[in-house]
Amino acid sequence: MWNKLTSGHMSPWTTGILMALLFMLSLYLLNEPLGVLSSYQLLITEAQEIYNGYTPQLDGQELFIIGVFLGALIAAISGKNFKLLLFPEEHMSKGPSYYLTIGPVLSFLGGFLVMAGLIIAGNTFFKLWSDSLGLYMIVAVFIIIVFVESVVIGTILTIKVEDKKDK
Amino acid sequence: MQPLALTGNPRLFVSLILGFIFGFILLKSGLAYRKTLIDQFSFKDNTFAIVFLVSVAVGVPIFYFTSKYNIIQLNPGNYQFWAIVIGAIITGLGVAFCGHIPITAIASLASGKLYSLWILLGMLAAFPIMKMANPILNDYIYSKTEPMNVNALAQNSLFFQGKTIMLYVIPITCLVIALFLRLIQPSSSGSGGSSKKK
Repeated sequence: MWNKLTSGHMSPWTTGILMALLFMLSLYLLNEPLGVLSSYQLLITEAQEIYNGYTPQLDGQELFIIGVFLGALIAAISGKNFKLLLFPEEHMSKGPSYYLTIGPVLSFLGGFLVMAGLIIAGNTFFKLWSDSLGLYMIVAVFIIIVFVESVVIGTILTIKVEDKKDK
Repeated sequence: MQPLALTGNPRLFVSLILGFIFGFILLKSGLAYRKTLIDQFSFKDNTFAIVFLVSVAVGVPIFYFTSKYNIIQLNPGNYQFWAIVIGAIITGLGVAFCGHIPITAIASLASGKLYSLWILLGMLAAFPIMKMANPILNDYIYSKTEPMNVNALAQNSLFFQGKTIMLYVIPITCLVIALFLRLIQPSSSGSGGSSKKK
């Protein structure tokens, strides 16, 4: 069974069902959703404590993030998907001038904007996802804006890349 | 019946295990890969949207009945209308650039994609910078007049406004859209396809 679980690809239908069950389970077992914004902040503080020689006191939210890392690591190793990559393949195809300069800057900027937006909105995408299952309209507004905007910008970027390829 | 609300070591253990399962699922479904989200924007691979829609379709009745019988307690965050709108616009821009949300960036790094480190560094840099920008945010976003009280809306989610019809309409609509997205998706990509994502 373990072999079957680790070697196969999980369909989005199964994944969606499992996600809903796990969101419910976290609310039942812990009475709070996991992956909230403060956990990332706490991880930075704990890292500073380790650097200063103190033993950190991890809480459930931080352990959840560590668990995600370990779960993905085990899944990648057991499924033979683990591959060290310094640059995304689509960046590599654009040459060293792109993947050594613009690529990392865009990734950094993208990461910064994602987290900055979530800080302004008040919580992580994961918590908002969990709240959307409770049919909170304001969360739906957030998800629709993110999706529509990403599709529009993603399409513009794709068209730009394809134009360059044609030339 | 009440939520278990574990404390102490059992809480830490359960958090770690739930995180482990989430991480495992994110990688096995392909959601942890940058390409999955990037391809979603051009509808080449609708995995992300299908996962989200199916989770809503399944989660809405589960959340409704479990909260009705007090197995779980729904506790929405303290949201503000303009903060949500502006936050969503900035997040959407970031997602289009980097193809990740925080949790998928962590799972991606764990699978050996070292370039996710740039994304995570950007995410971590946002905390001190946004802390410094807090007075500006207070002046221009948080203190802005709200067009509606979204927290009143949140506390009274569609479940509790006597609109239980939504309990059937929303899941069915989500499933129909998910099926449509599956049908328009090119057969070579995503949804259990054999193509390897990077």
